[in-house]
Amino acid sequence: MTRILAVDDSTSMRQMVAFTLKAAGFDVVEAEDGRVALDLAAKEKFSLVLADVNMPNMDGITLVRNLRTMPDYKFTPLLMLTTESTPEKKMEGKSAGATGWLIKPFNPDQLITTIKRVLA
Amino acid sequence: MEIDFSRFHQTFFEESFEGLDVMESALLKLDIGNADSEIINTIFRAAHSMKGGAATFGFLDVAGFTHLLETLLDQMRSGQRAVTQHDVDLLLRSVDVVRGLLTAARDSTAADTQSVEQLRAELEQTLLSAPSDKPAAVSAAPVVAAKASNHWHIRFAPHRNLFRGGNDPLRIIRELGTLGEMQVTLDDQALPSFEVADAEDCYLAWNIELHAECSRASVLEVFAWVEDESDLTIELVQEKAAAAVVEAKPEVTKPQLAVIQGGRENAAPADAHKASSGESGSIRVGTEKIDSLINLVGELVITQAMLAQQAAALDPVLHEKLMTGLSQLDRNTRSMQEAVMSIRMLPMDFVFSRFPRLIRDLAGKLGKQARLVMVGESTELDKSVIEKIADPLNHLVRNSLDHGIEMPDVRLAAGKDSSGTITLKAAHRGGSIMIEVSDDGRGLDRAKLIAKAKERGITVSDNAPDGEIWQLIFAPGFSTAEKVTDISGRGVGMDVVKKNIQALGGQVDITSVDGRGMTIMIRLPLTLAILDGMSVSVGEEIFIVPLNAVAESLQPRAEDVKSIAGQGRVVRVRGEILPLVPLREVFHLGSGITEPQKGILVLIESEGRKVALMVDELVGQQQVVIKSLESNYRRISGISGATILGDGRVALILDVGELVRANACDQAA
Amino acid sequence: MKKKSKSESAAGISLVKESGNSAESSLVIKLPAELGIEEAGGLRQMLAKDVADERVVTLDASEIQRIHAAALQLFCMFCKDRRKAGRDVSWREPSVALRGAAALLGATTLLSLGMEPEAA
Repeated sequence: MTRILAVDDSTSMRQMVAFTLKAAGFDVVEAEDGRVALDLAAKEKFSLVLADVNMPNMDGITLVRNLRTMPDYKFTPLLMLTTESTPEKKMEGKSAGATGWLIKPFNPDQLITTIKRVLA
Repeated sequence: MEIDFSRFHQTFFEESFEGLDVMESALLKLDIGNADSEIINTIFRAAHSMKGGAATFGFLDVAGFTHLLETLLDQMRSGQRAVTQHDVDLLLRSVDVVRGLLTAARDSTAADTQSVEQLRAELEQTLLSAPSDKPAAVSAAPVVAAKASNHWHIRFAPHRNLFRGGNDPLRIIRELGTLGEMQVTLDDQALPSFEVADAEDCYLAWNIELHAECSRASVLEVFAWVEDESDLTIELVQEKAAAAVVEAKPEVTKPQLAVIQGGRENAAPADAHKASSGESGSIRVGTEKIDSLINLVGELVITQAMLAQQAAALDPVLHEKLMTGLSQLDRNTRSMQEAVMSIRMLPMDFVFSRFPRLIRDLAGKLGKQARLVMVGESTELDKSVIEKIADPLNHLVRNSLDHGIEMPDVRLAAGKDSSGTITLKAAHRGGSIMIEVSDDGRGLDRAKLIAKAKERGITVSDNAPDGEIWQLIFAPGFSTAEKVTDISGRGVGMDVVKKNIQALGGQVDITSVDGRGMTIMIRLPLTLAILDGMSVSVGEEIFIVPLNAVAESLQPRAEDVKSIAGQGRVVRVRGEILPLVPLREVFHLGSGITEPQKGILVLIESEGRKVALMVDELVGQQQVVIKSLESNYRRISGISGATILGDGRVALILDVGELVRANACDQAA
Repeated sequence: MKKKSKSESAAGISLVKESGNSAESSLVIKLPAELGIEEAGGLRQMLAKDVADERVVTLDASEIQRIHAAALQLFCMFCKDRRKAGRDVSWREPSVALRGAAALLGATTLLSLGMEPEAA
């Protein structure tokens, strides 16, 4: 089964993402910040990582940068969750090694379409 | 996909109120003129995540307002704006306004629009007067949807590194193909010889002719993720029927063309309105409305049962139509009850989701290593039960980590992984939910528990079964930890945990293997509103025994019943000696059978102990609607509630936990 | 979908080579089902040995299920290099996934995938 790591410090966002992805048949592991996500990613290889940008402890951009240095995550799709008001974050995320982004707010269909496209 | 977002609302409100508290206290800490950037960042983050959640969950007024806050904070954060007392005051007042908006959204009441509008105007004014050297505003390109079929020439030359960002040109070109018709020409000029090539570098480039009825923005969106990782040119070669785009007014029939060519909606630039309209499938309703609905359905179930009972006396042949109608009513009432109950169901995730952080923080504090495994997070449980089980679970998880999981060196010495595992599991079992908290720690120490119990003056037999010994950890003030820690203290809380679970009509069982860990199993009713019960009679009275507590029922032989001096009677059931408790005596009833061999024994079980309740007869099994005795009369020991039977009589529901405790303890003493 | 045995992912890629009827004249390289970006390095290593092989090389592409542009690019280089040296490459039962990817990327001609598949 395709396992996705969903990283967001907002519990409600995380739950929404996890719920939506689970409903679409993906396996989801949740992490509440970058550091927790990094620990989890070190223990198993996820097929895709979906990370919020603004988080305490370790932000999403630092997480992506760290993940890209790990052999297991050399090519793994790493998606950032950004808002339309912070376009510079997209580019910052990209140069850290992110594959792409999803703009909040998004609806479940947009989320699933994007994820499926990337994992195709 | 239809997903009901309302299930996340409560969490969203909770975290947003928390976020506001964080903003408030951080704002109060801000030093005017010498603002700490970390503090500003904290405030920004709170506003930012509140905005994201609000927009996602459809609270657009909150999203709109927090957007202004975020913009202001972003200017402060990036140094474009100095932190002034005026701005801080404005932000503090804004926190109050957002709190008001959230409260209104949560309680479905009207917000104080006047103060919202006033502050919004002030914020906008402040933003306009921003002494910003670069325009912070991001003007979203006005999207003019070009409906005519355009011919685009696209040159896509990825940089060498493209693959390493996780992107695949194949995916991008495939997506482009969904916009319309295209011809792709491969440019292999830069392709090196196999010998010197790096398999992970991208050397290919493409020239694409796209005939599509789409705007530049749609084409750009396909390449959005790789724009900075490639050389990209998008040229409009020929614009067919371009006039149609400008003179949009008379083009009423145009959209039909778009539909025929189909598959295009996905490519249209996503906008916030679409996102929010997708959630219109749900409405928020106050819990008190649902509660009253549940109550009414409960009454309906009782009425239905009453009718069924009356009808049982009628001749089914003579009243065939009535009978058919009644059985239909029975089915419909049941489905209705289930449907209403399901409104209040929430996934266990609501409680479980707090534990990953808890474990990480606590493990760090204790110098231990632990991971959390969660199983069955989507198992649903009544909202009222889920809210009340959160604290007990919290205690149990803390306890497992504090007392169960060993220090890494101890674990390694015992041949275990240095990192312990705590497992949270939830699953439905019939009409109940089973929640398990288990760890692979040291397990409970039988000898130590017995010694400690004796020291505390608790009577316990040296050869009592394990189940009974493990239950000692729930005794008030009981703790076996050698050191008192500030994590789970001195066993304080464990007795409360058990009380809370029992108050929910639940049971707690423990299994433990020395050196291998322990498991605490909690069985809870799915809802506090209905109960599967066995009705039994004693004299004229009917009592309801919760079905999940009934182990078996039997008619005893006279020789199996023994009297023990000063301790009442016991009964032998397949070699097991159990206290015999005549219900007649427990509730001081004037009638009912007194000789055990003439009555029925119902063996009830709680916390690993059993007693045999003596009743006259088994009447039947039925689902009953629980009515609180406390709120309608007063609390009675041994009774957990009442219900109304089909014939209109009131039957009392037995409190199994209390009955077992009172009588099994007497026995041990 | 993603079937990958442990040993395979640990050791990179495993390509099964089989010699044709006459060892002198032909070499058949069996390509695996998964040719994602993570397999690109292994695929290159494998094909590199045979770029200059004197025999006719047949790529058995019947199993290919998932292919990344990186793998297709390797095939392009392989074919181009061999053709320059006057050596031929033929395909055995190119799968739908391979044909589709080549068509989308405009590589059908370069890879000589336009012709009828060689009879096995």
